[in-house]
Amino acid sequence: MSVNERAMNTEMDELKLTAYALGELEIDERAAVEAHLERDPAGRAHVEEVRATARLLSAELAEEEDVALTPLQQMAIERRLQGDGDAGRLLPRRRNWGLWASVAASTLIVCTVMAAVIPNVFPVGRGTGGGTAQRGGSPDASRGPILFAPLAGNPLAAEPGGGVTLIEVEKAPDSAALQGAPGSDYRATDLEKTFLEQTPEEERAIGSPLENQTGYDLNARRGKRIAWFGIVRDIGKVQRGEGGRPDSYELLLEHKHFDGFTDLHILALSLNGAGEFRARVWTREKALSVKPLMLMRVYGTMRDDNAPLTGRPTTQPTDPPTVEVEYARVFPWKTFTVRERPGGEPPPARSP
Amino acid sequence: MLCSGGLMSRPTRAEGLEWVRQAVARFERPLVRYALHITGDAERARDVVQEAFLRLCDQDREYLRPHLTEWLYTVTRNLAIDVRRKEQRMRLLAEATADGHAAPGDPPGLPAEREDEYASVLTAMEELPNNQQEVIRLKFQHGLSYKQISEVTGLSVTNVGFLLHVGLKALRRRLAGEEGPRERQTARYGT
Repeated sequence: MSVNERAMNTEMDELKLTAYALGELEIDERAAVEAHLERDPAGRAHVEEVRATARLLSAELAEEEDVALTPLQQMAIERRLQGDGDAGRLLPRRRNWGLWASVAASTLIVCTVMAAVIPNVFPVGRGTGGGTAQRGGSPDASRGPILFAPLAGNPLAAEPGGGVTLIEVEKAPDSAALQGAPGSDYRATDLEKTFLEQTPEEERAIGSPLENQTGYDLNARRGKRIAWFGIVRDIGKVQRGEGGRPDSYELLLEHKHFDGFTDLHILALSLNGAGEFRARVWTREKALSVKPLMLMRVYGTMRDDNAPLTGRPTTQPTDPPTVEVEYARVFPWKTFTVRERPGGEPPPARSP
Repeated sequence: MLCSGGLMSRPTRAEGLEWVRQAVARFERPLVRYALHITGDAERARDVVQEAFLRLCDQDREYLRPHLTEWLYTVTRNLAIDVRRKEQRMRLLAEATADGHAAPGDPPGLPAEREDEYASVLTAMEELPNNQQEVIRLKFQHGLSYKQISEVTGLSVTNVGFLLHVGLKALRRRLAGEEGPRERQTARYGT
């Protein structure tokens, strides 16, 4: 045997020993190698070296940065799964409840109440309230969305909790102005637009119920998509997700009518929980970045399994409506102001 | 009455959806990591993996399920290599039209003098040819077998074993200080 042939055989042997060390040999080959190793100290040393290097590599490679898909990419996959026919809706539609008593006649009362409340909640503005919402300032130049919940599941799950809630937190101080301006467009962020566009037109429309007199049928919203504003009043205990599902929090929000589409909405809510609604958000983060007293606009679907909303003014408040939130835009303090509604009615006199 | 052991029914739509979701949950991050190594850019890597999952949505679950890992890595690899080639073409075009020329010497990011050359095995690995790096990553970062790596890369199983063996051997030598740094090798993916 020549020197070259011996070298080649050695290399072949080492190849097999490497494969053995890495668990890549079949049973019969493995047995043969083990028998050989009993009388080959150099071979045993080689196997140990390979395994040591393998352990080192595995450990260091595991430390490399983890990169996930973006929430929008997750959504694109989910939409493909749902098919084109379903792409326009994010959660399954559920049965609609019948219309309940119209509250249109009470509109003026609601407006009055809100006019008194808003200046206290948002002290920055001159505080007439009673208007619709509009974000002022540059929509994207000075702030970036914080998506604190990288999606590991299905953000648009057919059943609640299959995904996580996307939450964008305003960062730039005083960059946004919530300003009453009927007829103006609400300036949504790029990500928010995705959800705004999926919200029914009547939910998106900016205007006053005093103008359209259509009222707001809360029961008819059951199982449908909504986009409501609210001040975070309470954050429930985290409910740990099981079976790989994300954790969830239930927020209690005091509804605010910056939605603008109808103030009757507030009355409808107030009949069922003092103007409150619940919002369930889903996250895989260790802690929720939403804090009490932040302003939120939530996009999602109103559940239809709450206690029935009778619509009778005499009914005792039951559980407030619950929204399964897919997206929320959060305005911490100092990132928004409330201004006088341009051209609006003068504020009503406050009671002492 | 239906009973177990009867004819297998086709997966329901819900099962089909869940299968893809589980695949996304399991493979999303490893695949982005893998693609990132090929493209060198996180955004490109994400795009590649998104596209791989979009293609998965159109696949036959029953047919693909036994080979899901290999299929996902193969599709991701091919897409990432395509992206990389396009990027390289664009870069070459840009360089050709630029007035200046890059100064000779180390490529950007490689300092002329490096202390503690192989403090990390990963630093040492960067000096290996790309095809060795790739099989090492697929084996030790992604847990693929020789056979799976063979299917993903198109190399023979024997060749996979050889590349791993040679790569590990080179790493051991460098970590032991028996071999110094050498010119970065540029074995290309898919060749």
